[in-house]
Parts: sequence; structure tokens; C-alpha cells
Amino acid sequence: MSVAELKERHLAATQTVSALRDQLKQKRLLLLDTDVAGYSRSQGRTPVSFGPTDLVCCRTLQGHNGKVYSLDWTSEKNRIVSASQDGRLIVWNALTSQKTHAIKLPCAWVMTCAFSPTGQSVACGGLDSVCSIFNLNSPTDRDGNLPVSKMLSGHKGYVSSCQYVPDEDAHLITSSGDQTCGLWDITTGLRTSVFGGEFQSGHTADVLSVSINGSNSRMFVSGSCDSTARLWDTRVASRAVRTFHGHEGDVNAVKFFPDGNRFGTGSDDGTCRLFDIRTGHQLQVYYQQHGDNEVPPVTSIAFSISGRLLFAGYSNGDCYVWDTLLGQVVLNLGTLQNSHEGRISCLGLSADGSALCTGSWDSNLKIWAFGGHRKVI
Amino acid sequence: MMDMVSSSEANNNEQNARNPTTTSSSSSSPLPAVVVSSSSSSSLRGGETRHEPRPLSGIGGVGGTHPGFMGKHRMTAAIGYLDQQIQIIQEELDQLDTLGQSSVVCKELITSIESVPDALLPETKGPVETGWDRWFQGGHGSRNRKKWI
Repeated sequence: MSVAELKERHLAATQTVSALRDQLKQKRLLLLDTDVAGYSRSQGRTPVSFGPTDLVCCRTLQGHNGKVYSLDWTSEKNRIVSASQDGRLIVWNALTSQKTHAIKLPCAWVMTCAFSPTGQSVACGGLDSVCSIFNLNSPTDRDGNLPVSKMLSGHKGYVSSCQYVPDEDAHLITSSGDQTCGLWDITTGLRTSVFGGEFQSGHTADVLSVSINGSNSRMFVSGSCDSTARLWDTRVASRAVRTFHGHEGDVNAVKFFPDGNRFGTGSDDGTCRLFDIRTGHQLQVYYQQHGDNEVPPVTSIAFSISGRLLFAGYSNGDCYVWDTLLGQVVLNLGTLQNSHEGRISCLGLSADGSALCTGSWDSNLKIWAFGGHRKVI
Repeated sequence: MMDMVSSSEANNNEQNARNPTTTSSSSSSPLPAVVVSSSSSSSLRGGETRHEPRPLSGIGGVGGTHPGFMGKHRMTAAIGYLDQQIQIIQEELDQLDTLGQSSVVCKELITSIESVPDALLPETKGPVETGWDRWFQGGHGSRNRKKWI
């Protein structure tokens, strides 16, 4: 076939894809007879109502000398690992505020960190394109530094996010600026699967975030600069199970909903969204003007343990607490007493759901918990 | 998708095949000197910058002994990719015929949320875990508990 004929075929195929996409969008709209907020109101649900001293900052973890970029809790209750621009990981006991480890990283440009399910290792990744594993029980070297116990190499771009597969210390999933996600066997140091990649049905721009389904660890979602989120089955690396359109900017954060059947996203377009994985429906958009007509990007999200609350950090320092059912902001942690003095870059909920940790560009981490009067229904 | 195809058309030289789309928005800032990645899209996350757009080269390709051939090769691959996308979207369209409306899912969502005790809510289903209040206990093992109603 000549180049001209190929160009024609290419153009025709592009137009077909575009037309089909529109058709899909329209057909989906017809199925969206209601969003979550509309339905919840019709069922008589009212917004969560917080008193002024209900959610309080009960710890401030100080120790980093630079912006905090990432944090992760252990699966048991109280420990957190955080990663900072200062080129260190710190492991904290959040209850006592003590630091149990301060790990100087071989590559200072870290973007993400994760705690292993057993709490014995931590992983981190960043601009070195490598995911490094540290065993917290290892003896330190002559300089007092914890040695790297494994390096997971293979990505051709920065490692933006990493998460251990629940219930096992041996596998981890990464997302990367090379447009792919990876599943790694930590024991061998080898990449078992590459999700996406050139001409595979994967992301078409940097992947910024991953979240593994807590109810079914074979499924994970990824969020990307291509404005989509994709659902993957770890057994099928060649194509995403489903692609979720809707956002109008980079999808910076993705997080599975506690029941494992939905997930949330946060984006540069200033919105958070809730998607259903089985139907693909976009169930709700969470958007509120922040004042001064600004639409700050969402940097990070987390759900409370029931899913009733969605915590969203924004680049302007706000941290909205959304009532996921009513689609309303019920609190702004960013304006509470004792709040951070900079952008909130990362958020995470403790394993038992009793506390939220926020990490900020002000170099601190803060722990928030419910200190008010609780009514048990 | 169109961005990816047009940039792969444009990238008929021997450079890295990965091309970022231009969907993101951020001002550029200098990259740290330690960047070792071969990806064109390396940049600091955290909002400082996303990536820098790659310079586009001509459709005919630059360098290489047979620029026309390289163009055809890439274009054929791109068409194959588009055909795959068409198939995937068609499958999804067919699936939609069997899918329920969003209200069904919303109902499930409410049930799911209201079945789980949540320490951060002012009103929640029980049972309450004793550890929820540990953040407000003075010393370790202090037994200054709140009363529940």
C-alpha cells in the first residue's frame, strides 16, 4: 500500500474512533438516570454534619527538611512511612510521634513510598526510574545508612507511584512516566508484567497514580496525564479492562473505594469523580468553587473506611472533606486550627480508619482524628 | 489517541518512541541534573511541572536511510492500534445494552457505605472499636475513655 493510501486509512480509522467514542458517551449519558447526590437526596439522606471541634489535628510529625511528597500507613495500626524532597524516607510511629527510621536515599528525587503489608519493608521510587526496597530490620552500613535490599529496574521513566499487593510482601505495582504500570516480583527483582506500552491498549501519557483493589488484589486502577483512569487485571497486561473518560486534565490521584466495586479520582481539572468498575458509569462529580474563581488541581484523595467521606487535597492548601453521598463539602481541613501551611500533597487513612494522615509541602505530616461526641446508630 | 498517533507520525527518527500527549498543563521548570531516565517525559511530580512537549519532526522523518519506509511502517502500526481501539469501543457499546442504569448502582453504594462502622463520622453504625480513641489518650495505656450514647 502506498503512503497516501495508508494515510487515508489512518484518517478513516481516526474518524471512526472519534465517532464511536461520541456514540459511547451519548449512550452512557442515557444510562445515567441519576447521580449519587440526586439519588441519596431522593432517599432522604442528609449531609454529614461536623461540629467545629469534631475532626482535629491531634499530631504534627516534624522531621523532614523539605516538601513531603508521599506517605503510606502500615496494615497494622500506627506506623507511617513518608518521602520528602529532602531525599529521605522517615518511618514514624504516629501514635507516639517518634521516628523509628530515617533512610537517606541513594537518589534524592523521590516521588512515592509504600509500606509492605507485614511492615517489614518499605519501597520508594522517583526520578531514578527505579523502585528501591529497604528492609527495615537490616543492619545499617558503616555510615549508619540502611542499605537498599532490592532495586526494581526496568521502567524507562520516573516512578510516580508504588503500592505493595495486599497480603504479600513479595509483589508490588508501580506507575511510571514511561506510560506503563508494572507488576514486580520483589524476590527476584524482575518485572512480571508491563501494563500498557507502545501500541498496547494502555495509557498514552505519563501514569501518575495506582491503587490496588483491597477486595480483589488482581485488579488495580491507574490515573494518567492522558486524562483517563484505567482498570487493569494483573492477568491481562496487554489491554486495560476498561478506560474511564470524563476528566479534563491529568488524573493525579486514584483510590479504590472501600467496597472494591468503585474508585475515586482527583484531577488537574479541579474535580474528583466516582466511577463504578462493573458498569463503567461515572457516578458522581465532586466540584466546588474555591473562591476567587480559582480551580486548583486535586493533588491527592482518600476515602474514609465506610466510603462516606472523601478527603481531597488541593494545590492551594485546601483539604476538602466531601460527603460522597450528598456530593457536598462538609469540612475544609485546610482552614481548621493547626492546619498545614502549604499544599497538601498526599493523604492516607490508617488501617482501622480511625485517623487520616496528611503530608504537605510545609514539610510536616499531620494526623487528624474524630474527637467529638460520636453517636452510634 | 490522535495526539499519540500524530506524535508517532512525527517521530520517525531514532529517538525514544514514547511521546507524551499534550493534555497536561504546567509551566516548565529546570530538571534536576541527576535525571537518568531516557524518557522524554521525566519531570518532578508535585505540580512543579508535568513534562515538556517534544519537538515535532516532519512526517517524512529525519535521518535514516529510508525515511519513506519508516513512515509506512509506523503508520501501519498506528492503523493497527486504531483498529484495536475500534474493536474495544464497539465491545463496550455492545455491553451497554445489558447494563443497568446508574440508579441501581447508587442504591448499592448507599447500602455499602451504611454497613461499615466509621470512626471519622459523627454518626455511625456500631460496633465502636476501642482503639478508635487512642489518638486522644494522654499516655500509653491511659484509660480516659469517652462515654458513648
